[in-house]
Amino acid sequence: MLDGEESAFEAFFEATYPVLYRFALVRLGFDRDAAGDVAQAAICKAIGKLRTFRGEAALLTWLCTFCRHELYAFHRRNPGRLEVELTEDDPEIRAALESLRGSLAEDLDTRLDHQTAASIVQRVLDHLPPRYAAALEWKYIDELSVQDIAGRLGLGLKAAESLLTRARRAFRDAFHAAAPAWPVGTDGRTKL
Amino acid sequence: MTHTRDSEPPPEPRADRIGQLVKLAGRRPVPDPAQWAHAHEAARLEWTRIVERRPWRVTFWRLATAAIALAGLGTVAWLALRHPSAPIARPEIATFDAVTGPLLVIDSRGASRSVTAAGERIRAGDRLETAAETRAALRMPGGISVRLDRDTSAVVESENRLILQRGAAYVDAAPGSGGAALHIATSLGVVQHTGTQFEVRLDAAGLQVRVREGSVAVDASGQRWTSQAGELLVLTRGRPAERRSVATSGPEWSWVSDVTPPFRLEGATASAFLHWIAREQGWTLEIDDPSLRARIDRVGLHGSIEGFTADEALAAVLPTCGLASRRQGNRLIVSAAP
Repeated sequence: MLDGEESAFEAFFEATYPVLYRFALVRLGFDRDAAGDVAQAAICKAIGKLRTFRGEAALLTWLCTFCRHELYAFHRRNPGRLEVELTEDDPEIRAALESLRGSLAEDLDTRLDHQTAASIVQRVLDHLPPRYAAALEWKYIDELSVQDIAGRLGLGLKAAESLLTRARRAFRDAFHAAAPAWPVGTDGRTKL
Repeated sequence: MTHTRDSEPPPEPRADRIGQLVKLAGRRPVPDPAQWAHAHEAARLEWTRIVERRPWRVTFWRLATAAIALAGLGTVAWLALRHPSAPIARPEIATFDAVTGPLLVIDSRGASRSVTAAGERIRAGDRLETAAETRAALRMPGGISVRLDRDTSAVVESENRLILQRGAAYVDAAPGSGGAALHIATSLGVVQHTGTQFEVRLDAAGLQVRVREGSVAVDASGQRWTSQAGELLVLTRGRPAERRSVATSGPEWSWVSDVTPPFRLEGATASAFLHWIAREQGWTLEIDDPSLRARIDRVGLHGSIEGFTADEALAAVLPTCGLASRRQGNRLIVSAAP
């Protein structure tokens, strides 16, 4: 991308702008306009400092620091605006995820703080490879068949099944990493 | 064998739990197409800027090839080529004329510094970020004055191109000022002019170009719009361009006065003072008595009007020259004191 490769810029933008948008959205009380502005400012700043990215942190984590700065600046400019305290960083996200623990086991539909849960699951999806996240959404939200998913991904049936298996595993691991105690099985690991 | 949904094996319980969670969360929200396009353009501008500004680097393989090719020319030449070239010094192209508070200057390599006073120089590629309480005035080559409103982010790309990423910029290019026309590039279009005063504002609502004097051209999406003094042109993605009438002085322009570069009164003529204040305020200067016109060219002024508003400056200066003024709408009418 720093060499001026157009396709690299497009891939970068496509993969990161919507993630930053969602990052901002949940922290701005779901104000879509404000989230768009904050995400745009964050991605521009990040691109401006791309040369300083050394890979010590994951790219998304690095990008989210810019988004946090922009959120802070936004709230300074708009002191009366609703500021939603939500961060997927360890202490908070763990607490939030752990609060879901018993709820999910009993009745997902009635006991969960839906919006909080949705935000967290969506953040986990955002941290998966884009094809994994898309495949999981197609499978469970759109209820597409594996064959249809294979078609969308340009894969054979077996390859799509394999990708879905890897996507579920990646989701489970990401969730486990974020909330190791949620919900715990006899083996001490998350039961997902 | 081809699987259909009916023929797929039932999901494992764990997979089903994942499915419940994903379904519960619902589809991840995405920016709407206008936001996407807006952000894409802004990001592209920033990307283009850093790519164009990247220092020239010699890769290892190029270096090795060069070393082999130049081996016959001696070790000294080879060693000289082995070191990457120094980054190209970016020229200083503008100066802060006035700042009302702290602002950040970030260079094209990401190093930032805080500026709190006039006089600091700006290099090509610097990005300026005004804070919520800060406005700034820049002096560009050829004497063009650029004012930045609060919460503005702009990159001074070159002496004739400024990229407005957010907020508002006001340009005052007096007729006859030297230098090339200044282009204001935004994610929604490029604004260019020759000798005029105008404001470019970029926000979530779109791009707004207000012309106070002269005319400007706006190039966007392969089309060109021109706007004259007293017009506001609004460009919003997915909608036709809108054109409205606006005042050329008054509250909409008052932020510009907050960061007016200081006028050096000491040694100036009354004529220069009156023309300056009229231009800054968007007023038309009228001197009803022809003999008075010749007189004010000869009247020299002393003192300072630093920190004065326009009205305060007029009230302080004109009586000392035997002059009086009154305002009628947009007109500043000057006459001999009674």
